[in-house]
Order: sequence, then C-alpha cells, then structure tokens
Amino acid sequence: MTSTASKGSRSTVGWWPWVLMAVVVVALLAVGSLGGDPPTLEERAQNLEESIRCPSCASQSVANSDAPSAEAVRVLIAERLEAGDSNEEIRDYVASRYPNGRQLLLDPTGEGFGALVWALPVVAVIVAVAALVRRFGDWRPGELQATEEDRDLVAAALARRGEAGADGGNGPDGGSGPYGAPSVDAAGGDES
Amino acid sequence: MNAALGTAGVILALVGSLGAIATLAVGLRGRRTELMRMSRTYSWMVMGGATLAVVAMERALITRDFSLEFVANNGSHATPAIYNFATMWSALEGSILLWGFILAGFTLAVAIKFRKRLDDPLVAWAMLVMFVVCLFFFGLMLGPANPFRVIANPPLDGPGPNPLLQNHVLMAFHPPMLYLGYVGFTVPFAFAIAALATGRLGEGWLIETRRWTLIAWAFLSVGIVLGAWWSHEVLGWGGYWAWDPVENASFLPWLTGTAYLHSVMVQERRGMLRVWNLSLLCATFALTILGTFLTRSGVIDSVHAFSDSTIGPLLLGFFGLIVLVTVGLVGWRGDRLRSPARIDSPASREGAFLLNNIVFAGFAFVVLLGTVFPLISEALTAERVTVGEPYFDRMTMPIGMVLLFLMAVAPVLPWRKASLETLRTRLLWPGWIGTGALAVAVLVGARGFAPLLAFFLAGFAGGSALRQLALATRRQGWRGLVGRTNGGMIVHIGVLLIAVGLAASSSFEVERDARMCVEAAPGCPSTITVSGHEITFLGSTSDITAARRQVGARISIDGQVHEPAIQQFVNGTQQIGKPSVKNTPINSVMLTLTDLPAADGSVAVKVIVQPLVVWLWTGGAVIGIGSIMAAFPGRRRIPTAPVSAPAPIEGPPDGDGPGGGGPGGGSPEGDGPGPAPLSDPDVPDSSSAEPASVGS
Repeated sequence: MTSTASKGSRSTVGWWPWVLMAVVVVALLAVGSLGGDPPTLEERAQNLEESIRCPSCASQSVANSDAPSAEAVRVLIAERLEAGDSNEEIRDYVASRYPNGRQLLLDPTGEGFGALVWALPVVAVIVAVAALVRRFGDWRPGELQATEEDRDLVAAALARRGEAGADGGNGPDGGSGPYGAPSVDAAGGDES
Repeated sequence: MNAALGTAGVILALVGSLGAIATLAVGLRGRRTELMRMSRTYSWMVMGGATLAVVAMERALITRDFSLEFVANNGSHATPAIYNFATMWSALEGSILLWGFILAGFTLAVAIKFRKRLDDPLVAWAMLVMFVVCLFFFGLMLGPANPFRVIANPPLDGPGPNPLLQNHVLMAFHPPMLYLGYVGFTVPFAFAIAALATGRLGEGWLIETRRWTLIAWAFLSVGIVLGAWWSHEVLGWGGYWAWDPVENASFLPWLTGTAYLHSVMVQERRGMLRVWNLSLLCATFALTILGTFLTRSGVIDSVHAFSDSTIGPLLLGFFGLIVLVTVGLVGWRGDRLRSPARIDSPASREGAFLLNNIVFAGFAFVVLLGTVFPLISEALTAERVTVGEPYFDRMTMPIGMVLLFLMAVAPVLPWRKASLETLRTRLLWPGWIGTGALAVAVLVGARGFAPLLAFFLAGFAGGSALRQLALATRRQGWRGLVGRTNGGMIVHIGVLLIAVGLAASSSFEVERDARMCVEAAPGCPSTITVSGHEITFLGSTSDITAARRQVGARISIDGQVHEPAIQQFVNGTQQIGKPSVKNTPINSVMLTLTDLPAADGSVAVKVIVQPLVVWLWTGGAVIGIGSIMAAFPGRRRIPTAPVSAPAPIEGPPDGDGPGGGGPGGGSPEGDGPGPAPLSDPDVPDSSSAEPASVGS
C-alpha cells in the first residue's frame, strides 16, 4: 500500500475496467438469479416448516424436529399446499388450529405490538445515520490540501528514515511493542 | 472431605478477593505503593483457592463422591472418563466454578504481566476491578450457586450429565474455550474502568490491553465455532446455528468485541471515539453477564437452559451495577473524553471503521432485540410472541452483506482521506477476484441472488485481504504475515470462509427421507442416490454399554462405511440421535436415523447434503491462527513516520508540563525521543489534555 506521501508513484487505472467488471457482474447475477423455476411444493413446504415452531418443543422449528406434534404440523401444511393456499394463509391456518397458535410462528407478523421487532432496528439505523450526518456534516473535502510546509516536513521525515515508504502498508501496527508508554504513564501517575 | 476442601478453596478465594479490595482501596486512597504491590500476593491466594476448589470438584466427580449434591445430580458411575471430567461444566454450579477459576487465572496473569507496575494507580485500579468481579463470582459460589452443597443421604449412583452433553468429544473443549473468551473480556473492562477512575484517558490503557482483548476475542470466536460444529455433529438436523438465546448470548459480546477491535485503531491513531470505545468495551463485558443471566435464570426458553436456579436476580443486579458504574464514570469524565480530532472524510480508513462500528452495533441491537423481545412483549402486552430463526435470518442477511462489502473496501483505504483514483487502482484486482468467484459459482450451478452476491462480495473481500498480505510479504518477508494489520487480514480470510460456508450450506441444502432395506424391495430400496452420492444400507448394529444402549445402521456413502445410530441413555427417557457425517471440502453428507430399526430390518434414514460446511470449521481455525499472528509483534513503526497521528505541538517530548510525563500519555507515536515530531496544524494534539488530567 502506498502511503499518501508517495501518491502518484504508480500508474493508476481509469474507469473502463470497472465498467467492464460491472457489466460482467450484473450479467452473471442476472443469469444466476433470474430464470430459476418457481419454488416447488416441497420447497415451499420446507420453508413453511422452518418458519413454524414445533408445538411440543422449546425453540425448534417443525423442520428440525422429529416430535409427533411436528409431524402433525407437517401433515397440515402438506394438506393446505395441495389445496392451493398461499404461504400466509397456511401460516394463519396452522396458527388457528392451536391454542395460542400465534406463538408457533417463529417470525412475528407485522401487526400490533409484534411489528415493533421489525420496525425498531430500522428506526435505530435511521437515527444512527442521521446523528452521524449531523456530527460529521461539516466535512469539507477541499480543505485538506497539503501545504508546501507539510510536504517539506514529510520530505525531511522520509530523509531521516532512510528507507522511505517501506512501512506504509503496515501502518496501524504502530506501537505494537508490548508497551507504548509505560514509563511515561507510571511517572505521570506517581507525580500526583 | 471433597466438600470441605472445595468450600475451603472458595472461602480462600473469597477472602483473598476481599483482602485485595480492602488493601488496594486503602493503598489507592493514601497513595501507599507498598499496599498496592500486595495485589500480586492476593492474586496468588485467589488462584490457589480457585485451584483447590476445582481440584476438589474434579476429585469428587472422579471418585464419584455422591455426598455432594452436584455430583449426585450430574455424575454417575457409568459416565466415561472424559465426559465425567467435563461434567463439571455441564450444569450451573460447576460452570460458575469454571468461570471463577478462569477469572482467577486471568487476575493472576495480569498481576504477573504488570508485576513491575502494580503500584501504578492505573494498574492498581484495574486489579481492584478484577478482584471485585472475583468477589462476585466466588460470592455466588458460597450463596445460590454453591457447587459443594452436601446432601444427607447420598445416593449410590447419579443420573449422569444430560445425554446430549456426553456423546461428543467437542463438549470437553467448547465450553472452556467460550469461557476463556467471556472471562477474558474482564481484563480490558477492568483497565477501562481504571482509566476512567484515574482520569488517564489517553491511549495508554488501550495499547496495554490490546493483546488481552485480542486473545479473549480469539477464544470466544473459536469457542463459538466449536459450538456450531458440535451442534452440527450431534443434533442431526443439518444445522449449526439456530439463533437460540444461548447462542445469541455468546454472539452478542462477540459482535461488540469485534466492533471494539476495529474502532480501537481509530483511537490509537487519531485519538477519536474515546467514549464510544469505552462504551463498547463495557458493553461487551456487561453482555457476557446479561447472557449468563438470560440463559441461567430460566426467563427464556432455550435448549441450553440445562438447569434453573436462583442466581438470576443476582446476575441481573450485577449487570445493572456494571451499566450504572460505566455510565456514571463516563458522565463524570465526559469533559476529558472529548476528542480534539475529527474525521476528515468518510472515504478513509477511520470513516470505514466508523461505518463498521455502526453496522456491528446495529447487528448487536437486532440480535439483542430479537432475543429479549418475547420477554418485553409478554411484560407489556401479556401476549407471548416467538421470535425465531426466520426473523434473525431476514434481518441479519443484509447486515452481513454490508459487512462483506466493508471488508472488501476498508483494507485498502488510507487514513485521513482517499481519492477515487486510489480506490479505483487498489480495488481493481480484488474486484476481479470477486467476479471470478461469482463466475465459478454460476458455472457450477449455484442460483439465487443472495448467495451469489455473498460469493461475489466474499471473493472481493478476500482479494483485498490477499492484496494486503502480498504487498506486506513482498516488503517484509515472513514478517508480512504477523502484526495487527496482516494478522487481521488472515482473520478476515477466516471470516470470509465462514461467510461463504454459511451462504452455500444454507442455500443449497438437499434433504431426503427414505426407508431402506438390506434386500431391496418395492418402496424400500437398498441404495439411493442423493446429489450424486450413492448411499447403501448394509445392516443394523447394536452396542450396549453401562451408560447407554445404542442401535445403529451400517450405511456406506460412496463406498465409505458410516454408522449413524440412536442412543438411549440410562438416565433419560429421550432417544438421542447420533448422526454420522462424511465431510469433504466440497460438501458434507449427513446420515441420521429418524426411527429405531423396524422389525423387518428396515431403517428410516434422513440424508442431508450441504455444500461447503467444512469451510465453516476451517474458517474457525483460520481465525484462531490469524489472531495468533496478529498478537505476534509486527514491525514497529518508526515514531516519526509520515503517516503517524499528530504529535504534540507544544514543548519537547520530555517536557516540563505539570504532569512531568509529558505528552506521551499513551499515543504510541507521540513519545518517541526522535527529533521534532511531525505535527498537523489541522488537528490539535490528541494527548495534550493528558498531563493536566493525571492524578487529579
């Protein structure tokens, strides 16, 4: 990794390889995600079984349980799929067949209090991003032009180091010796 | 005898902790260094007590001393030696004992590592905090979680540990690893509190605890992966992660710990994000306690809630205390925590770390919310909802994608500010590597937008990590593989292996149920083919030992014989499946018997074929190796290197300020004796507040 000081010392690339890459990626993603068959009844059954809790288990889904109660739910799902119900209809139907049946649904539906579990994270993300934008709203990209003085300092430092730029890529390792400043810290502390 | 020894050990540790707290408090108050130095003796005392207690417990388990309630409830003559040894952490009281033992070990390790500086107030405060945590846990062992309770009429034999905990050898390693991670976070937490208490809020304490944090994080990561591996090998439904509350409890501190490991670099480099880092560290520690509360108090249903107990309120109280103390201290020291520096551009290393932190914090929020939401809902609306896998899968998938993208871009970003030109150049090859990964996936027939995007991003991120490693090794030889940045890139590769394994195994799983006979009959084949694997039923087996009965089937997968079985332990009514897995780097074939062999000799078999499952476990190993490489000292940066953080403007480094310690405070770059360090006129000195703050 080149340090900022030696910027421009290597050739840079333009946009065209990126345009080519974008085209290839989009084409591959399109080929890979379009043109698939609609889910078969078995796949739908599998998905539904994963989203419904086994009635006699603590936290396992119907799909992951071999308990008789899970088998009963599997039979219910298979019947309703044959009858041509949609996924949501089947989930509602299963829930209606058990006391407190809504507890069997592993992802709460977006109604009532349960909707909060979906909404709160979204709100949190919006608040966090808004706070950040506010906090760093005064980004002034143009302000960071290095002055001649800065360049002189860098040149002087590089000259002192002898092997200029040899360490740039390992930047964050600074001070990775066992102690950065123990003696200073200790001295400072005792001073009081 | 065992009970007496064990109780004596716990009391010794408790008295040692109390003595240390009193001595350190007096020593810190009166600035009496000879008292502060005594913490080393006390930590030997606590360690001695904890060791005595553990030895007594293991002795009781091995000699089957059923006069101890714990052994009577969890031990048995029939349990094989290794599971008998591991029985200590198969139930609440023993696992608290393990916690205390590891905590005593960490306390002693800190005392030894900092033996020359025990009279430094920062270290003394940290030791004090460690001993307070010790006091809490050894207190639990004398109170509600007493592992050495004696019963009047000892039974002749016990039930043995939960059957699920004694049929795989990983159970001997997964919990101790996890606890080493959990407890390890006590050390950086103690130093964070010490920094707040002494007011020495510079970067010194961060640098000193960096490796401790890294080691704790590595143990936690490996512990989590081992747990996933265990559940894949044992539970037999082809899963490894079910977003169960206990899994979430281990994942939450991992998330905040990971965020901290990244953001700490911004503070070391630029002196920013001080409050945030303190909060993350304290949150990590608090979450380990909250997780223990959630899973040990029985408030949440979990497959891991092996025992109920009354320690819930105490753990919750301790959690509340941690949060209150942290918030109070941060509020009190708020003025000193303000950072003089600011972020120059979002397109910079620090900008990427900041975004990484927001994403990780969001991730932790989603996991925490989903875990406790049933409780909240029940408390507020009296309606108990279930929040399960589908919720977590749907919410965390986009977060994972963003993290993969950040892992691709962030490693090539320079500090301060990047130009588009730089990014375009540096990211080109990583981008093509990602494209190549995507092309390979499409060619071998992978379909679906989400997994394909994951493969592309993982390849992209892998390219960025390899680029860093390639450049570093070209420059520095083997040293290009060690140090924080380079070791970190190896960890990234481990995480990417896991990401690819997750995407592939969850998206392209093939499952088939079949009834099989030795002699093929209509509706009962002897050989089936699943995803190109030939599976042949060869015959039934049975095996009876003192601890369990086992009936199984000999089934060959592509010519290699496996023996899935069903076990019935003498201490349980439940039948436990013992699946058999054939692992290859490409895919894993899991065989599970879904029912006992029928009278006619046929068996009901479930076959699950999942691609790239082995990548998950390999990724865990790579994370462990990468962490070791990252802890290994890398090449030291020269203090005056041009990319250093701003150094003090005023005064020479060995200056004459009121603090005497000068500006060094902690900024690793600042205290070099070299000639006039570079200063940046734009950014005030990050450590200039230090001398004034010392010891006030």
